[in-house]
Amino acid sequence: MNLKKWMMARIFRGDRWAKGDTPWTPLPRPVSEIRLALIGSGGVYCEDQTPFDAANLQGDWSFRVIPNDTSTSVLRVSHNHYNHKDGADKDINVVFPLDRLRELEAQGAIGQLSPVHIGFMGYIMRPEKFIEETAPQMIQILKEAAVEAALLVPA
Amino acid sequence: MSMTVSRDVTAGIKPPRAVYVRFPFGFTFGEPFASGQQLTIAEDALAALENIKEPGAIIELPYRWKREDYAAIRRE
Repeated sequence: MNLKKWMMARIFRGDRWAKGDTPWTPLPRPVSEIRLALIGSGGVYCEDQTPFDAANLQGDWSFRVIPNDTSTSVLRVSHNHYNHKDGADKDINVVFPLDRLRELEAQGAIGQLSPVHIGFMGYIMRPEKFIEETAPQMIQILKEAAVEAALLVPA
Repeated sequence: MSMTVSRDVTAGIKPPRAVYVRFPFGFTFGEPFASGQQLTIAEDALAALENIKEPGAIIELPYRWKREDYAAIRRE
């Protein structure tokens, strides 16, 4: 918990907090009928993709599209700012729970999973780059996939 | 629907819907291979997605990391 407080003071400065009202879009239908995407900031990518630039002190605000038919056995983590050695490296579901969402889809609890999911690395010291360049690209991809809701998972 | 392990950070970022779990950084859905624990968090997140009607709500899950019988919780 001390690590959390240290990071909050260092990274999440007050001047970076969100301005204005919280946006709101009502859920159009029950979760059992919607199309859901998974978005993770734990540095998750497919082994055949370029890893995130974890060593860059400025961070890496790029993202990777993870197709829904990807086996979680080929998902990797590139991120130097949280402990993935004891967690996500062993079982990616702790920060990118794609297997669990598939089980819930099979049970009918989720209408259907999006054909694409998204991974990025949350260590970004240039948040304006992420907000102005990365996020609009991600949103466009999810809109084209007719996604109605997303589960956002930090690491 | 935003998951979080840092309630204060999420309160500052103000996502429309959030679920807070008192788990360590890097373990948002629990321990490796603990599928019952992971599924419990995922089910609660989806329930929150459906049930939160107030923008900015942060729902805190009650789970105490390893000190829960997640199989029993899921049978309830």
